[in-house]
Amino acid sequence: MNNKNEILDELKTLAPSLAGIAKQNCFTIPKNYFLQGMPKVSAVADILEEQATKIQNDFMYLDLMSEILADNFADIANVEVFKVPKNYFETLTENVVAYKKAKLAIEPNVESAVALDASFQTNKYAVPENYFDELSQNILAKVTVADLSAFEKAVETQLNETVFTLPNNYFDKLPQSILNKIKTPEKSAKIIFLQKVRNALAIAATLALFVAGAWFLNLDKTDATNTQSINQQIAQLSTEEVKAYIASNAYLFESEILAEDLMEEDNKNLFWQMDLNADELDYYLQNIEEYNLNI
Amino acid sequence: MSKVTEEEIFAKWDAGDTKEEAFKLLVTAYQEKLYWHIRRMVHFHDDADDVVQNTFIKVWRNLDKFKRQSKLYTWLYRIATNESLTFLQKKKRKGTVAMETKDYDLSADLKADPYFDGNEIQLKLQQAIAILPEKQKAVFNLRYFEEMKYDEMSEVLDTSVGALKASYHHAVKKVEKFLKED
Repeated sequence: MNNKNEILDELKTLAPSLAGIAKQNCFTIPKNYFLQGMPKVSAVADILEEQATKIQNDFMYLDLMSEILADNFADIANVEVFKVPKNYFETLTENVVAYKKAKLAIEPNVESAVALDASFQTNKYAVPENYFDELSQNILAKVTVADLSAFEKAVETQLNETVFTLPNNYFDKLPQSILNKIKTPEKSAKIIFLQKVRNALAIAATLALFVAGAWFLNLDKTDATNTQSINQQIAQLSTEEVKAYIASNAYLFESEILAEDLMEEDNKNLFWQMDLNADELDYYLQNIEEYNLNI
Repeated sequence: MSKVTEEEIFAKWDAGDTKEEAFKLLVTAYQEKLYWHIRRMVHFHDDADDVVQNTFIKVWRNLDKFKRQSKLYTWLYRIATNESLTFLQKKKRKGTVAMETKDYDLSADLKADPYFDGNEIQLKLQQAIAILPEKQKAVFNLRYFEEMKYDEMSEVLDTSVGALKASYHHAVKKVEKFLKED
């Protein structure tokens, strides 16, 4: 009740009009809706029940079959389905011997005949008396100490022989060489984007040309009253003159020359240089077209 | 729902061979509460019928995963709310008119609905609720119709009490304003 009043007071504060409306449920449902059950939910339960019943039935079937088999097993086992002649097993040995003899009569083999009789009577493989008791002693007696040590030495020698050789004092020097490698950082490859370099140097060369041209023009001017600025003088250069200069100095823009220039110490801080590790360098070389070097 | 009944449901459920019996008990105990909560969200009986059944199917599949650290009905309400919101979002995508705008004439649809029995004021109220954003609608319904406490609502909607209070206040103000309009 406290909760109800609290909610009502809250509503009166926030929305007096709403609080004044009688709270009612205007939604209705079909008759017996909640009593008839829910089809989908029932379907799920039915499927699960059916599955459970099937499993139960399967187990029941297996149980029943087991019982039947158990009850009848004794009877089944006792039924002789394969029959043999009377006294078959008692006379089997005699019959085999007779058969052999009959065969020998057709293909005589004296040794076989003698052996045939003997083999059925005695064990033809015999050993001296106490053979096995004395066997270990006999073997040891044959193996002398000298022989044993020689054998052991041969084995040891064989194990020590290797086909791989090492430089002298290799293991003595190894720890230090490893330490040296750890301390020295790998030099990474520098990748130079020549296209950007080419463009930048082209601009720089053009500007240099203009400055040089301006200076040249100034030298030619003997008129002390020349008041034209360098920019004005550069502006007087024709397009053809500029193109001719670049064409005659094109060798300056070749890839190898650019690379040589950029490898100099002074050019270390150029923004287009990148330090790459081995993996990055491999990737770069495999995807070189992406970088549009026009090499 | 009394604690004893929740324990009874879980006892039958945990036994294994009485799972179905436990589930039937659960559905019977909560179907009306969940149905009305869903119905107020989606308005129409056929839609509510679909959503409530989907809710219980979800409950059946996930009851083993319910950790029982909160009340069962809070968990059920959360599933029902999410299913309702999902349904409304799907309906919004399929529909030509956005339901949360005044362009959507819910009152016309409700008047034509055989399962709606309300006067003009109630129609207007339902229209006002229909144009609220979905989560605000859920907050309003839970507080106004079902008189749920904020801390329980917080578990249902997984939102802080402060945010819920703010949301309810905004919702009530909007409804009030709509009711005052001609």
